Amino acid sequence: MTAAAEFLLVESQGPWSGPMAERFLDDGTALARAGQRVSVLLVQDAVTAALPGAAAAVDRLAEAGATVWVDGFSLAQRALPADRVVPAATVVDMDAVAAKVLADGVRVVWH
Amino acid sequence: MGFTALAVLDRAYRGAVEGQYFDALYGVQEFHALLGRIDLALRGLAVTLAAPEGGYRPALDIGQSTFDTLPDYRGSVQRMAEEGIVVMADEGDLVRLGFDPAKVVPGVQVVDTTELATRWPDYDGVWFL
Amino acid sequence: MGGTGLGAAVPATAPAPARPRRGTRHWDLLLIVTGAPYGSDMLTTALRLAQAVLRRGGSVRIWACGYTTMVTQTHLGELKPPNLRHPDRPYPSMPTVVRQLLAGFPGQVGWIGCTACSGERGATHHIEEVRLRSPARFAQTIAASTRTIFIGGA
Repeated sequence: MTAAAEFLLVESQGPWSGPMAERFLDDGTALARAGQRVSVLLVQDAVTAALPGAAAAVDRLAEAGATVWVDGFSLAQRALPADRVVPAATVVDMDAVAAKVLADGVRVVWH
Repeated sequence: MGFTALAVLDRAYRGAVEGQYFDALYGVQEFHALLGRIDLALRGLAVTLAAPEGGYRPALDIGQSTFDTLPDYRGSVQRMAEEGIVVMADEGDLVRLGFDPAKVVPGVQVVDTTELATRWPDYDGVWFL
Repeated sequence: MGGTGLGAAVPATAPAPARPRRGTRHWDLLLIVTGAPYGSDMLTTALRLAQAVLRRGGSVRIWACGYTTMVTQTHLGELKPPNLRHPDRPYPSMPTVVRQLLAGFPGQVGWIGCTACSGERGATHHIEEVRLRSPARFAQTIAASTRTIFIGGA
């Protein structure tokens, strides 16, 4: 396998859109378990995956060592309080995402 | 080698009569010519693009006309494989939909597309279409 | 018949790597946006990310594909049609939004319209700030950016 890289997975659809969002998050878990550094950004409707009990895939990501971010703007749009997201997830703004995108060696995969 | 990409298609059938550029299957073929290498992974309902075709006829009557320009899904997938594009279909999704993974469009490789994610570092880009 | 496994066939011959033309500037980020505006918040998110990257001093090029090519059409004018519930409040058109992005970070941001997607949709009258590129320039445009993000949905 290629030397370890860092991946930023961006999930925009979430559990209310069907099963493929969870499959994408599980891609992230597979990557993390294979030794890659993985961050996941939940944005748009996907922020709902960070609500308690919403998506076991988020728990699997965290257990595999991935970082889970939740877009604060998307939460606010949907009237979801930031303190409602699961402890494994961190609410971020787009500036933090931009810093990650611009960092050397980070590859972004968008679903 | 030029830019290498893995295209992942998990949503198909976006408009048969009203098909637009770029249609995902068409786009992959074009990317293959433009970039040098693009592999295609089918998952979810998109695995049906690799399933053996039954009674589908790519034509519809609208008004007094017959439009026979609807997509030829499996023909496109087979041509892509013949042109050297690596086409993969998710085994679990095929089985869930009642298909026999051993009987897919010729040239399609049946894989676990979640396990495929461990190979994402091998590509310059992973694009969900 | 199909087979199993993750083996990948490598073409016997491959095109030469795309290289930026001599003198072509290099960009920090290429955002390829293919989905339809107003089908989801996809374009809003892309604009938010571009803005954040630009604020950090990065350079961004946006390649508009699919129905995203519609948002820079001249016939959309500068303002949306009046909001009948708030007729005195102007709403900027999408070309105006794009122009604001470009004007807000001169030299840092570019907007490309795909000629094939534009032609397919009759979106052939782009504002002058848009650079038109055919898909044949795709590889070269990717090569001119340090990183590429592909946002699907076309």
